[in-house]
Parts: sequence; C-alpha cells; structure tokens
Amino acid sequence: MTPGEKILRDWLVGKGWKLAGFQQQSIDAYLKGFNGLVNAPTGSGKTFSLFLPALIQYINSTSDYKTKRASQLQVLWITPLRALTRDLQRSMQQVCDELELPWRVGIRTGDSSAKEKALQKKELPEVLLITPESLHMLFTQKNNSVFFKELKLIVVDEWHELLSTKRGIQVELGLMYLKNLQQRLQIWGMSATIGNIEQALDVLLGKHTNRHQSVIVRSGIIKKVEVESILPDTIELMPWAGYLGINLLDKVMPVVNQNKSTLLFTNTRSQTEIWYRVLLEQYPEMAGLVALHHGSLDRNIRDWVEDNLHTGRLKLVICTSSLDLGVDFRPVDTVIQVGSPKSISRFLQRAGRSGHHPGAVSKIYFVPTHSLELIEGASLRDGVKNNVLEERVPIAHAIDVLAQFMVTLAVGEGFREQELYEQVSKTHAFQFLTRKEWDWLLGFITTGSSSLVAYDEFKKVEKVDDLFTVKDRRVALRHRLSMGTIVSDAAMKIKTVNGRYLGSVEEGFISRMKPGSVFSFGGMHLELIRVRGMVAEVRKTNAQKALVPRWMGGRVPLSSQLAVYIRKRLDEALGQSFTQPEMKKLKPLLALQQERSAIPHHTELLIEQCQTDEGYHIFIFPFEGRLVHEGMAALIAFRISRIMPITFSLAMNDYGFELLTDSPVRLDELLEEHDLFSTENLIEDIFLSINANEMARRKFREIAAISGLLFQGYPGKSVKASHLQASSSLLFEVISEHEKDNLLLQQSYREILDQQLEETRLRNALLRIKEQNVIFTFPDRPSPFSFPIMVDRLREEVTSEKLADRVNKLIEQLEK
Amino acid sequence: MTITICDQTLQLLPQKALFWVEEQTLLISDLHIGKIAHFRKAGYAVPSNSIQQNFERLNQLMAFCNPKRIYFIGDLFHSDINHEWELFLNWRKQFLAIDMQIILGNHDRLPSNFNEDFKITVHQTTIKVGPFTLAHQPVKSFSNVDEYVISGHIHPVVKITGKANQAIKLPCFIIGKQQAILPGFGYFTGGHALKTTSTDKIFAIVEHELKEV
Repeated sequence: MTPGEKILRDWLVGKGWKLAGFQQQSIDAYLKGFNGLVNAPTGSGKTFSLFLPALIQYINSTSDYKTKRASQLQVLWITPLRALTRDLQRSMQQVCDELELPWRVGIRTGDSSAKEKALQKKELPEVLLITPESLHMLFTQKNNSVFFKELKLIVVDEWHELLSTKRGIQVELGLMYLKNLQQRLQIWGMSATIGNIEQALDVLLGKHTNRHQSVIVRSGIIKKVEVESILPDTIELMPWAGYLGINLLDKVMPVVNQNKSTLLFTNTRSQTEIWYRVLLEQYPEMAGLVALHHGSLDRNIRDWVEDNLHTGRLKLVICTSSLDLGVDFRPVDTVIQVGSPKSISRFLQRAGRSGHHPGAVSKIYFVPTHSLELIEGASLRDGVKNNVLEERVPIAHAIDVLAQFMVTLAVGEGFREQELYEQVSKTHAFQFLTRKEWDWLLGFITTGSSSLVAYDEFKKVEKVDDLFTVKDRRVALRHRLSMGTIVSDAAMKIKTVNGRYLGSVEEGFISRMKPGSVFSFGGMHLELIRVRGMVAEVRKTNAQKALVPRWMGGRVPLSSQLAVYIRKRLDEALGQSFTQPEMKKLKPLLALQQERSAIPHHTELLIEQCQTDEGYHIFIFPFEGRLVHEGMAALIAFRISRIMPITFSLAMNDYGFELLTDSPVRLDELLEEHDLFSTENLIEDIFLSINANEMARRKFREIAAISGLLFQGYPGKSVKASHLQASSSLLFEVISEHEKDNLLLQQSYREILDQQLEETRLRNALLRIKEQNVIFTFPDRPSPFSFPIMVDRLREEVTSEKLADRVNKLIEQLEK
Repeated sequence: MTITICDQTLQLLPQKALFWVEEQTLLISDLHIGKIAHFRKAGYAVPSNSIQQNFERLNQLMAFCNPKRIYFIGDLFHSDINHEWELFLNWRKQFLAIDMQIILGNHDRLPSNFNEDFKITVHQTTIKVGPFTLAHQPVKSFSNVDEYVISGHIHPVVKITGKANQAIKLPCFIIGKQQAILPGFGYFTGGHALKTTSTDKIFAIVEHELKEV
C-alpha cells in the first residue's frame, strides 16, 4: 500500500467510512494511470471515487505535502451546472482540510466575481470547479497554457447531460486542447446510466487519449424506484386533452401532506406558476411552506429555495427541469411528476431526487394531465422496471462551435493551423472534418470568405508568421462577450422598483403589456411600472387577476423506448388484460375507442377517417413522437397533393397526426395505388414538403450567434452597438443569395434533418409501417385517440380564451 | 405602380425608390452605403460580393428613369468611411451630369470635404421641393393641412400572415394622407413591421412588382 493510500485509509477509518466497491475500483484504475468513466447515481459517493485518488497520487509524490503548497492547478473539475459547484467545493475542501493538505478548492463560473477571477489569474487554486463556458474563457487569456502545466486530472461531471449538446462539443475541444498541452493528463467522466454508455466514453476520450487504457467503472447500484399514478375517481372526470393537470390537485395534496418534503416537477415554467397560484388559493395554509423554482427566476431566489430545501423548511417545491440536476436535497422524500416526461431516463432522473439514504426506495408519483396519459404512466413504470434507458446521441460536426473555438484560441495564445487541424481531427465531433472544410473555416475567420486571400478590410483573426492570432482588442472583447453555445431569446430582466432582481421573461411577453398590467411571476403578482431598455421595473401588487408569461421552449417528443411500452399496453388492452391500475381506470375509454374505431395492435397501423363541420379528417397513428409526426404529416400531405390538387391543414401529437381538408379524400383507395409511406426520395420529398427555408432560417439564428457571425450587443447597455446590428434572418438571406457554399448555412439544413425532423427515426418509422397492416376505420365522430390531436391544432390557430369555448363545444358534440 | 399626389405623378418602383415624373427626380432613402464593409471590418463575415447588390439596383434605376436629379433622403451612409464609399464615389463619377442632393439622416457622418469629393449638395435638415417636404424621419405633426412629407428612416415592411402560422415580411411604401414613407433602399438593412392607420395605403414589393395590401 502506498503512503497516500495508507493516509486515506486511516482518515476513512477515523470517520467510520468504508469505500464502496466501485470507489475502490476507480481509485485503483486511476493510480494505474487509466482514463475512464464512472457510472454511478448521484448521492452514491461518485465524487470521492475520483477526487480521492488524485489526493493519493499527490501525497505519494510529495513527501512534505503538509507544509508545501502545490501552487499549481492539479485537478480540473468540469460541471454543467453552476449550482453543483458550491456543494462540491465544500465537501472537497473539507477532505483537504481534514488531511491537513494545504490545497484550495476554487470555483470559476459565470457567477464568479471579477475580484475572484483576478486573484485566480495570479494563482490558480489546486482544484478548480468550472463550467465548459468558463473553461473556454480561460483559453482566451494570453499565456493560459502556464495555468495547466501541472494539471494531472480532468473530471467531467454529469457527462451524460453534456453529451448530446453543443456544450458537449465545447468539452470535447477543451479536453483535446488540454491533453495536447499535457500528455500525462488523465481524463475521467462521470455519468448516470444511459443507453449508450460505451459511446459516451469514446466521445470523451476521442482519439487523443488511449481507449485501451480506459475503463468504465459501474457502481452497480440500482436505486429502487416505485412508481404510482395519482388517479381520478373515475375516468370520466379526466379531460380528453389538456396539459395542466391541476384538476387532480386535491388528490396530490394528501401525498404532499403525508411526506416530509416533496418536489413537484412540471414540464413548463408557466405550469409551475399556475400550479403555485392555484395551490395557494385552495390551500392557503401552505403559504410559507411551498416555493417555486424555474430557470427564469433570479439566481438569488433559486439559491434561497435550494437552501430552504436543504434545511427542510419547505414542504413542497414546484419546479421544472431546473432541479433535474444538481446537489441532493436530503430532506426530499417524495417526487411528483405532472404530465408525461416523455422519456424513461428523465423520469428516473427525477425519481432519483428523493430517497437519498442508502437502500432507500425512491418514490415517484405520476399525475396524468389527460386521460390517455394514463397509458404513459403505466408504460413509465414498465420501462423503469426493465431498466430501459434512452440514448444520448452526441452531436457531431458543429461547424459553429469549431469556428468559435478557433477564434477563442486566436484571442488567447494563437494557433498554428496544421497542428490544430490534426488535433481537432482527434475529437469525436470533428473526426470527419475534411481539409477543405478546415480551409473554409480558416478563411471564414481570417478574410471573411472561403479563401485565405484578403481583398478588403475584413478584420478578425490575423495570420502573423504562421500564427493565427487576434490583434484588435475590440475584436477580442466582442468575442469574449459572445462566447458560449446557449443562445437565449432576448430576455427582459425583471426588477422591483427598489432594485431587486427577480428574474427574466421573454421580451415579446413584456412588449405586449402596458404599464399597469399585472402578471404572475415567481409566485407573485407584479404590476408593470415601466420598461427601461432591457429591464422591466415592477411592483408587487394584491391584484387578483394576472397574466402568466409563456416561455419559449419546444415540447420534448416521446422517446422511441417509451413508445414501445405504450404499444405493449395497447396490445394488452386488445387482449382484454388490464393488470395495472392505470389501465384498469382507462378501460372504459379504451372500450369507447374500440367501439368507435379500433385499438391498433403493434403490428398494425390505425388510420381513422371522419367528417365533422370542419371538414374531412384523416388521423394516422404511428406512435413515434411529435417531431417524427410533424415530418411525416408534411410528407404524406405533400405526396397526396402531387396526385391530386388539394390543401391540408396539419396537426400532430406524440401518438399520431392529422390531415384535414375541405374535400373528401379516400386514403384507403389512394394507398392501394400509391406507396405514400415509401422511403424513396425521402430527403428530397421532405425538403419539398416542409418549409425548409423557414426552418433553416430559425436554426440559423443559433448557428450565427455561436459562430460569431452576429453581434448580440454589449451586456448591460440598453442601446446596443447599433451600427453592428443585424438580424440573423437578414444574414441568412444575404448568405443564401451570395454564398451557397457557406458551411454554416449547410449546417442549419443538416441540423433540421437531424434534430428537428429526426430523419433517422422517421426513416425507421416508415420502414416499420411497411411491415404493418393498415386498418381503416370510419368513425362518425372523433375517437378518444384523435380528439387530443384536434384540440392541439386548435391551440395553434385560435387564442387561448376562445379555445376554452371551442373545446367545450367540441366536447358537447362528442358526447351527444 | 403610379400614384398621384398633390397633382404630381409619382412612380413607386420595385427597386425601392420613388420617381417623380414631372420633375424627372428620383427619391431614394436609407441606402446605408458602407454597412456591409462596416460589418466586415469589425470581423463579421457578411459575404463581400453582396456589396454589389446596391449598385446593380442603382444602375437599373438610372437606365430606367434617366433622372435629372436625385434626392437621397437620409442615411445614405451607414457609418465611418470604408472602401464601400469609394465604390459609391466611382458610381457617382459615372453620372456627374445628374444633380444629387442629400438630406442628412441620423447615420450620416460626412467628412468635411464631402461636397467637393462627391459633388453632392448637403442639406442639414428638412427641405421643401415643390409641393413636397423631404425629411429623413417621418413627421408626426404637419405645419398645415396642405403639407405633404416624403420621408424614410424606418425601413417599413409589412407582415402578411396566412394560414398555419405562415408569415412573410415584405418591404413596402406607406402612402398616407399627408406623408409617404419610402422603403429602405440598402441591401442588408432589414426593416420594421409597424402599425399603420387605416387611411394609409400600403404597397408591398413582391419581387419585381408592387402589390397593394
């Protein structure tokens, strides 16, 4: 046993702690010089599994470790979430102090003060907790490579969260850069269980770090999760469509009351606001015991909520994905999920926010928001039981992120292009980057064109004797201000008249209000006093009526894994086997579906055709999630319109989609002669059928901002640098017209196919449909399956006020 | 598209300019010469060949209207001098016989020797020409009921919404009772959709023609 291991063992014995098997494994692997991935749930001691071996190694190599300062960065700990850093810092610093190791554990995030940063610039702490963005920010400093001279270990925490995002690519590039500075560096990731954990390690190590000297350490800890749906007394009390779930509040409250501390997850920020308000109206005694947490609330408010969760003072916190990640709140013993989370992994992740005591069962309650969602409740339980997990597909070839990184390096120490090209090619994301694309990128940042030959005053990166560097301080400043890969909509800050920041809402919401208007935010009713630049000044009010802001943010589609279980539930229902409580409850509704139309077996594709006052409806149910349905709806509509002149209006949800037209179409007859679901010419037909330009234009906004094509303005200045103002859509037009070979333009079309239309999944769905029997039904009224789709379409067309009336009218028609 | 205002014949042109037939005078607003180069100089890679777009349209107007005089109603230039100004100067030299005048806009930062170099008469503020008042920024109140203002500045666009959340924005002329607002001429300048009064007529530019909406 090495001295370090002995010291650590004595310390553990003194505390009465014992290392878990996986902790010992990762310590051994690390000390052998391995890289790897630790797969363990939060709260299992995964931090120690990588932090302790770093300490052991240091103690082994430094005999006077108690008296001598290391004075150099030893461990870099990348986390996706600022909120994670505070607790990590506390527990790491505590270990160091108790071992009398004079190490400092520092934090560097967007929240760090200028003073802290300046101090760190003089002397970095031995351990630095950092976000991907702040790491790249370090690369913009001149001679930053000195910081990393003694770096031994990089840990990427919650790697599964970063993997399928552009921030993940930032991490990949950062690891490659640091590995190149420090060949002895060991790279480790930490991840929750995901469907593609081997690939997660491949992406982390790229080709720069030896995959043969790496290992996945699995904790083997499978948390027991119990799923229970909160059911209405009778299914007739549930709406056929809807998303709020608030009508089950009276069933939810007993659960809250029976438990010590509960997290209630909703899928949108507006939903949290509404739940909070209704709850306090109906249960005023909860005042002071319930709080609200979502991503648009000011950091201080969120911190306050989190602190009070820690101390157990709050009985209930209504939150969004903002509390998916992060530190554990020990007192939390119950989790409630309102509305389907659409993915088994996300559901498990949330369930894991309760029951932190070893061996404790995590209990999660599912609150359906409309009747069919009960099937999802039953399916989630099945998925959890069978430990089925979705994959996190890594993004590749994001030209925008690479362009930003190249300028980042040029602002910092500068780079030599051949060398950097070889290094970049060693990352997973850019392994297929061609020399031609690289040349285009070099041109893009140096001459603002596709070649390296300058013929006008374009100025960004300059080439000085082989070194690509940024000389102009204003260029450097603007670059630093616009770094990052998260592009948010213009957000308006909300501030009270006496200067307290409450959070932010989208600019569009405030611009529709007048001074004196009242809106609901952070659980308060606020009166708009005035708008100054990008700050809305407000005052608390007792007014009863208030608008609820709606934040943008797409709805997540149903995962294919969960879809499989939904199909299984339907198969069972067909076989008259109703074993789960949700399905028992749902029986009358499924019987109605069977009576009015049919329940499709998983080997069948259900197509309903029906006529209402609105026109002729075709409903098709592939159960593939809303994104695939959006693409498929457009595709089928387009292919029909090629056969006959016709106009459709489209609608979709996670189960199926609708084609609505004013003249009768016999799809059953059409399908006999035409293969409408063919995968031939799929991409061509998709681009002809959807408004690809419009979608690409919207995508381009993010790409332009990340790649540095667009200047977002100086922060805090209400008047933006107006002479450099342009909209991304204008840029999109100009580039489409004058620079067809622009890689960023091409990227926006590719991203639509990959992310917006889920092209691979769409193709697979079409191939599956080929194998399915099509069953046509002709119900005289919309069925329980088709009704929610009709309502979804209404939501897009009419305002919310009239919507209620129209929905009611429709329901009346239905029940006749 | 031809309209009559104050007994004068005005042609609204899809090149985003207005031609006053009786006076053989062309009115152009918000050219923003130098904007693309300004962006490029600051490191924003707007395609450089797009600079030619403005000159192509200017030349079409010269050929089509053969004007005696041109009024630039403000924001002829976007910002500080850059090489795009030289391109404009070269263009100006091809048409020295044409009288050109500028009513200064909020963007125009002209050097002191501008008049000598460019041979363009500078008006610091609003001017009266025949029955019309030429102003860069649209005016909100008029000196008398007979005044008719021709202005620019806001780069008006009209948003046309169709079914299924489809919307398209088109640059347009706004022709009101006492004021006409010209579309922004400059390529890569964008525009603002704005509220109009019901008495305003809106002529949108749809590719090569004008349509009243």
